[in-house]
Amino acid sequence: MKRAKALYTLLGALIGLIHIVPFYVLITTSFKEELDTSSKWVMPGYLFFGITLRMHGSSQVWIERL
Amino acid sequence: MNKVSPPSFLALVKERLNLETLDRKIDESRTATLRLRRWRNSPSAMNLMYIPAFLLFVLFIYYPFIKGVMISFTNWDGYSQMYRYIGLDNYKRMLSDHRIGTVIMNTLIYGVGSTILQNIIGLAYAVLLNSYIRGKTLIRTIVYLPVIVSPLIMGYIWYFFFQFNGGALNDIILLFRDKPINLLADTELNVWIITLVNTYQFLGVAMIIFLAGLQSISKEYYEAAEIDGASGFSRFRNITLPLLAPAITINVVLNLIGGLKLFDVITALTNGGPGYASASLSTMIYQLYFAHQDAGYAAALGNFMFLLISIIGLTSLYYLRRKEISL
Repeated sequence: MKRAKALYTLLGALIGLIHIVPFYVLITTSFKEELDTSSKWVMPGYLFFGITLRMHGSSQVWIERL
Repeated sequence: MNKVSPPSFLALVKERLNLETLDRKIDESRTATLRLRRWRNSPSAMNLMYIPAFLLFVLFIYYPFIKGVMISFTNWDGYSQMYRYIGLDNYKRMLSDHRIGTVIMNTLIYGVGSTILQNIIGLAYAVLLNSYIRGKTLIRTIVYLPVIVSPLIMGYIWYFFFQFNGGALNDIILLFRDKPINLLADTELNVWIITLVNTYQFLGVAMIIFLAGLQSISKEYYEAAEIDGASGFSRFRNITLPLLAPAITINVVLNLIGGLKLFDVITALTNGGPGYASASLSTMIYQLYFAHQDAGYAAALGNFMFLLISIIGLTSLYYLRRKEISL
């Protein structure tokens, strides 16, 4: 019974992990620069907020780009 | 000399306060209230109540639908004021269109494939997450998370995963072979990838409906079955499944309709391509209207799609409702 419960918990954790993968990829990608071609599995070396800021219409980021 | 009797005190007060008039007025108002109450409960008043909703329905559903049917008999390009009625030509064109076979097949795969997957996996998840396991609330939340994301955004998220250059899946594939695979350009695979993405996104809904169904089943049935020596599978087959039949019906019908009119995920992942290899009826209608300016033909296809979804949806509903009784 205890073994079955542990197995179910493990299965549940695996399901959770599989379902969170696309969101993980989304987060790693959103914090990378556009020209960063490193693997989407790898977290960025530093957090790039340019894309997030541009999304909010920050003129500062646009000036930097120009 | 006649003796005039003085008016009684009460009569004097009544006269003074005009109580009789007051009584009459009270009676009148009471009658009016009663009449209003009786009218409010009458069928004619009930009919008046649904007029606002009916007007909105006419404006936003019936009128566009009738207009759509009318447009399907024209050669309208979707923009100009000029068009002429061409009878059933658009419908005849559908029969000779070489793309239609593939598109209908894809639509059916999206509809039926997603329904089967969502129901089987959703039921398995619900059974698992209804048992006593650690962190089940967190896992339920994670599984339900994609439902609250727009399907178009979900399509783009999965695009990061499947894309040819630097896609997350190709990063893994490159560990085992030299070249990446263009999964979304593969005409055999992309339809199934889209079906999987749609399944992933709406699995949470199916799971929640099944969970609600499972939680409404009384524990006594299982206890009685356990005393009788029924195995786990036997309990599932003879107690869980029959009592989940209404939940299965709702899930199948909702998933079928959702899958058959799939649009956003296809647009984000392949835009119906290559060519029309992964297009569904919805994406084809969209492309015909906006890219090819062929509104008449798009409207004819729209009407066909409406009929297809209605027939499949109603047939499955009728069949499953009958099955519920026999179970």
